[in-house]
This record gives sequence, C-alpha cells and structure tokens, in this order.
Amino acid sequence: MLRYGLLKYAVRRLGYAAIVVWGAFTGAFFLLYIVPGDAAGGLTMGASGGDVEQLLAEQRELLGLDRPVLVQYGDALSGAVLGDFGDSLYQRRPAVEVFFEAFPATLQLAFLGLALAVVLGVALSVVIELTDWRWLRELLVSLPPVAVSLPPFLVALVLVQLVAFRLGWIDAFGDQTFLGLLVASLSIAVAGGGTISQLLTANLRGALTSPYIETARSWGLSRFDVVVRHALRNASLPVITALGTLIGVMVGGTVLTETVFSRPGIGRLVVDSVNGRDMPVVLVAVTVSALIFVTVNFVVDLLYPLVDKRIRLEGR
Amino acid sequence: MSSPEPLLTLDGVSAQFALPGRPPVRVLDDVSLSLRPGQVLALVGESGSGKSTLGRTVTGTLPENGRVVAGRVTFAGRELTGLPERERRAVRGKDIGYIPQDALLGLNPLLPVGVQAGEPLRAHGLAGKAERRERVIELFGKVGLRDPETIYGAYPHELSGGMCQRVLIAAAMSTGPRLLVADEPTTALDVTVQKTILDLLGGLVAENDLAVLLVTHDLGVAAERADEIAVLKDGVLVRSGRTREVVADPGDAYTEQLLRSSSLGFSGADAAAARHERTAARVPADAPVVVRAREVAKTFHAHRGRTAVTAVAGASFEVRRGTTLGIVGESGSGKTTLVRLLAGLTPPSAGSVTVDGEPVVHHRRGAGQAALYRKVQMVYQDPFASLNPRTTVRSILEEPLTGHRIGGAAQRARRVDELLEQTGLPASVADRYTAELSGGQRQRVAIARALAPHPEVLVLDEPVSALDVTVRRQILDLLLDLQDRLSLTYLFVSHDLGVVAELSDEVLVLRHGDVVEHGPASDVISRPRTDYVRRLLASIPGAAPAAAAAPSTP
Repeated sequence: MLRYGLLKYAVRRLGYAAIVVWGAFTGAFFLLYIVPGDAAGGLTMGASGGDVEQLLAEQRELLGLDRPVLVQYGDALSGAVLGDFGDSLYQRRPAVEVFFEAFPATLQLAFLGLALAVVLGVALSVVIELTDWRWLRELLVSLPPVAVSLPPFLVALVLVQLVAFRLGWIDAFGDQTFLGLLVASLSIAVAGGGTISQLLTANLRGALTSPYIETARSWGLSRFDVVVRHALRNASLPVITALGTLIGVMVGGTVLTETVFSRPGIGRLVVDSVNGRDMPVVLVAVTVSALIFVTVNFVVDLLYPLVDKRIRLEGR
Repeated sequence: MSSPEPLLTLDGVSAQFALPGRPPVRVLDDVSLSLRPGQVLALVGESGSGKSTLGRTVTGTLPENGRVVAGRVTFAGRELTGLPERERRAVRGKDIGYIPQDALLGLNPLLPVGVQAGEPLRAHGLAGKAERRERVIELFGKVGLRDPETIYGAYPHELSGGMCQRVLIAAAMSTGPRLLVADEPTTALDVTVQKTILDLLGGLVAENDLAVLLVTHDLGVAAERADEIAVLKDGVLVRSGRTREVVADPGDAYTEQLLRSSSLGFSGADAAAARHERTAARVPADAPVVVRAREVAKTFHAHRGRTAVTAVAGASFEVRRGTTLGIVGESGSGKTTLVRLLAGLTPPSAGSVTVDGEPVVHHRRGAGQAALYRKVQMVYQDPFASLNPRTTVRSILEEPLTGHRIGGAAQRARRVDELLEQTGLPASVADRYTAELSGGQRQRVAIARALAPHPEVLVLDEPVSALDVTVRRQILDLLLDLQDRLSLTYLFVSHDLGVVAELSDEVLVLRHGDVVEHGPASDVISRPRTDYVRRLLASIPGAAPAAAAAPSTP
C-alpha cells in the first residue's frame, strides 16, 4: 500500500520534472530565436562582396534555418526527446558530444562548490552558537551577509591574485591539480556558504528556544551536544530546501569561475555558443542544466522524510 | 519516614531578568524553602508568579538573561549557586531530574524517543550504547509504557501526550536522581491522564525515596499530591507549610483565592444542582430548541491500508435556547469532530444538524455559510493561537462585523466598545496587540469576537483548558454571566467533567465516538451509569470525596 503511494508520488513528480525541462528547452529556443542574428551570419563572418546575401541564404538553407520557426522547433524538440540534438553548427559533430566533453569538469566544480558551501555554512553557524565570547559571535554573525553580497567574480579574482600570483600555490591558467579545483570551487562556495549560514543561524536561534532544547539542557547535555545533536537537525530542514536552488546558482557561477581561472568546462562553450547562435549546443546545455536542477530538487524532497519522520511524501 | 536532613534548601534566593533598555525585572524575591527526601513540595502560583523560574534556579537552567542575584541554593549539602557551569552540569540531569511542562513539545520531534530517553545516561557517561538501550527499555516498562521495544524506536508525533510524559519521566529517572523538578507536568494533559501521571510520580517517590519539587498552578493538584505547599505571588513567598495546614487555614488572601478557584472539595453533584437551579429560574421549560442533531455521524475513510475511523457514531440531541449542552470525553473521543459537524466545518457521513430549524450544510469553501455563522460562533482552546498577533484587538473585533456587513464605521466602533465592556475588558485594550495581553484577557477577546455578530449559539471548544485555575474561574463566571444576560445557547466541549458540571444543563459523554451517556447534568454526574464517567469524575484533582482523606505523609 505504502509502495503504491510512493509510486504515485514518483510518477507525479516525474510529470512535473518533464514540464520544467520542456519549459527550459522551449524558453531557450525561442529566446535565442528572437535575438537578432543567426548561425549563418556567424559562419559567413568575414565574407565580403556582392554575393554575401546569397551566401547567407545558401547557408540558411543548408542549416535549415529558412524553414518556419515552428517547424524548426518541432524538429529540435522531437530530436531532443530521443537524445539527438543535432550537430554543432561550428564543430560539425554531435552537439551532445561537444557538450559532454566539457561537462564533467564543470560538474565537478559545481558540486565541490556546493559541498564546500554546506561545510563552511554549517560550521560557521555552529561556531556562532558555541562561542562564549560575545565579540567573536558578533564578528562571525556579520560574515554571512558580507559573503552573500560579494560578487562571485570579485571573489574569484581575489583568490587568483592571492593563491596563484602571491603564494604561487596554483597555476593561474588552467591549473589541473586538486588544489586548483578546490580554490576555484571556493570562489563559488563563498556566496552559497553565506546563504546557508544566514538561513541556518536564524533557524538555529529559533530551534534553540524550543521546549525540547530546554529538556535537553536539563538532562545535563553539553552545549555542543545541545546544538549539534538536538538543534541542528531541526534547523537544517529549510537549508535542505535551499540546497535545491543553490545548485542552480552554483552551475551558473561556474561560467564566471571557469573564465577567471581559465579552467576547461562548459562555461566557455556556452558563452561562445550563445554568441555564435549555435542552437544545438545551447539547447543541450540548457536541457542538461534543467535536468540537474530537477534531479537535485527531487533528491531534496526524498531527503525530507529521512530527516523528519513526520513528513510523508505521498501527502505532498 | 522522612530523614531530618533537608536535601534541597533555598536560602533567601532572589533572581532577576535583564531586559534590553529597561531596568532588570526581579522575578524571585528572598525565597527560602527546604525539601526533604521522600517528600513532595508543591510550588503553587499563577503564570508570572516566578514558580518556573524557581524551578530553574534549582536545575541551573535559567535563560541567558536571568541570574540569581542573592541567596543560596544548597543541594545535598553542596552549594549550587556560583558553581561553574561544568560542575553544575554534572549535577543537572544526574542527581536532579527535570520533567517539563508540555510533553509533546518537550521531546525533539526528529529523534526516536528511546534515543532521547538515553541522553541523560549518555551525557553523564553512565552507560554505553547497548546498555543504554537495555536500560531505557526497562525503564519504559517501569513507567507503564506498553510494548517498550516498539516505543523505543517511535517518534514523539506517533505517541500521545501521556505517553510522551512517561518517556520524559523515564528519561529523568534513568540516572537515579534524588530530586525531581516537575514543572507543570500535567497541565497539557487530559484530567484522566493527569491522574495516571501523578499516580506514577507518587509511586516513584515512595519507591525511591525521591524528593519532588512539583510546580503547579492548581492548588487542587497540590493539595492532593504534596506534603508541603509553598505559594508564590509576584516572586514572593506568601504562604508555606504542611499541606493540611495550608488548606485548612490559608491565612492569606491570595492563597484563599487560589483555594477557591481550585476544584478542591469540589462536588460535581453540588455544582450540577446549583446549575440546575440557576437555569430553572431563568429559562422557561418550553424554551424553543435551537440546535438539534439527528443521528449525526462521521466516519473517516480508510487511508492506504489503515482501517476506517468512526469519529462520531450517531449522536442525537436537542439544545434549548439559553441552556448548555456539555460534551465530555478524553482526547480522541470525537469531541472535536462533533464540534466541526455542528459548525458546518465538515460534512456528516450520516444524519443531520439543524440550527433554528435551518439545516447546517457544509460547503468546501465556506460559501453560503455566512448565514449560519451569524447564529453560530466558535471560541477555541488556545487564545494564543486563535487570535491574529499582527492586528489590534479593535480590528479583531471589527472583522466579524465587516465580514457580515453589520453597521457602518461608527456603529462598529460603538459595538467594539460594547463588546469590551460585556467581556469585562478595559476600553484601553482596543488599540493594543494581543501579545500585550494576558492569557485570560486574550480569551476574553476571543469571546468578544464570537459575540460580535449577535450569535444565538456559542460553540466553546475547551475554552478554559489552556488557562490557569484562577483565570479559569473568571472565564467560567464570565460565560455564566453572558448566558444569563444574552440568553445564549452554549455547546461546551471539555475533557474535564468538573468544569462541565458547573455550566451544563445536559451532558453528552463521548468515548471512541460513541455516546456512552446522555441526560440531564445532575443525573449523569450524581448517578453515573458507566465506569467511564466514574473515572472522569474521579480524575478531577482534589475533588470530593478524594479531598476528604487528607494527604498522609509517607
């Protein structure tokens, strides 16, 4: 019986997920379409003389860009459903292949960034609650808002300046070591960690005034046990929700970070593809990002009932 | 017999709270007490009397802004005040156990109760993981939890309030403490459960030569359970002594008042008889029937493998204008469902309810029910939760008027003043927020709000259960007075048969959805036909005949 409920829930969630991914796909397609210029213009760049117009028309016909927009859209969509996004207009090979060459590096960066953000954010919030020194607490409490308001590219630039040029620990251009990866992910983790810590500190405050905390204190538990064993779990629920949106921010943040650290990844590829109107590559990137977003949010929802037994998935 | 050496002494203890931007507030002023092993000392007072603060000075868990500014707390020959936190913590939860007020909120919702009950053992390094489990399961059995193995892994939301309180008692007892501080351990519970929990505590005291500091607002509970009583008012000890002496000779106006508000020496039969006379003098025997229920029933459908639940199984009754129907039962007896049926908040599975001859119908979005709500209004249990904290009392009281399009702005303003006057609130309350009001004042606001559209019927869902005994007394008096003045018809829901007896003309007793007794209040109360009703009567703390036998010293 319970299994059946869970199945129904999963099917419904899958339906929502399909709608989100389709929405992202469609939005990207038409956005790119209404932006002036197309791939034919990009491919014939530099050509001059009287036959430019004819050249453009030939290219458009070759690429199928002269067909009605809805036909193009239908084509792209039906291909995408089957996993075939067509060839990259510039590289003349499958867009999926082009994308997935660069993707693992980005994924690594984004998830390490998210993990770092969680570790930093949670640690900061716990230390804020544990410290006995008022001045230190005041100081630490003021950190998350600062972290959130720092522009990520600035953080990245400062980190490059410091770790690469001053300290010389990593290579400033396309460092391949783990330390290089760590420093790069730190630059996207700062804002995320700040968000998590802001949310968690407020929730910890609330949780620590709960009656069950009073009970735990009266049992003779240490401050650490009270905060970490009893309050943190309760305070972490809203943070888990926030993780779902943070992963989106992280993937977005990689574009800048990869540029600043000159790292391989989709950051460069996506910017170039949008500029060149390389529709297939852009569509792969958008679809995969939407899939990640949907998957992470689904995982987050599955996590809830593990943390809080009062929550039943089927009811949601 | 008790040993002569006191286990706990408070010597001239004063405590105060620091408030930002204001002078510190003194909540305890020069309080001296002592407690011997094997004895129960009841600390009695209203909300804000400082009794919980006193409990916390003993456990050493005052909030961050509170501190003891004078005096000494000595436990087992050792001064606790001024001890560094580390040494204090070694005593807390080990030699001094604590039982909190609201058992359901007092347990962490995200951890299994068994793990939580093992926390004191873990914190004081008294047992390893496997041993903790074993000891907790054994303790769960001792405190009367059936199937302790299953309960070990259960979460608080899967248990009842009484079960949670047993878990907390097991946790407090796990380290073999010599003193228990119990802060209103039964206030959030049904009277019948309250009785079993207090019985359990009493048994533990006798078995383990335990000393108990019982914090309560109910002098009835204190008189029934304690060897000594200490009465606190505004942080000052106004009366203390042996229970028998305090009850026989309060010797202090405040203690006297507490005594009168409690159900000490209360006789359900007398109360019902008095009520009968009062109604007979006021309501003609042929007063029209206002509310009529015919075989009204509600079944909740099976939810994925669970069995269908019959919340109310065919209740029939009539309530005449100006009279009260008391609906009594324990938690889960179907009281609330019946109320919801009467107010058209849920559709009945069978049967019907009429108000003034008009059928009560349920609409999913409440559409078309405005006419019903001009006649029927609700007052809820918790005035802290049922009033919007973001608006003033005036706008709370005006809302039903604007909602029902009654009167213009000037008339509404006049009506608000009138409502405040009727419910005994000062006119200055109108422009305040409910957060600035006391529990009793808030409940008066809730009653005033219900009265605003001139209803005929008030559905009172446990209106005094969340209130201190003294405030409870005042609210009951207000309800009686309003009924006399406005010829209101009451449907009064409570788990406490004592409260119901004072206010009801007819009583309907529910158990697991079934009507087990129904009839004139005086009959049901003076000649109960079922054990269930007898048990409900016996649970009233300090009520006669239980009070006749004075508490004996162990």
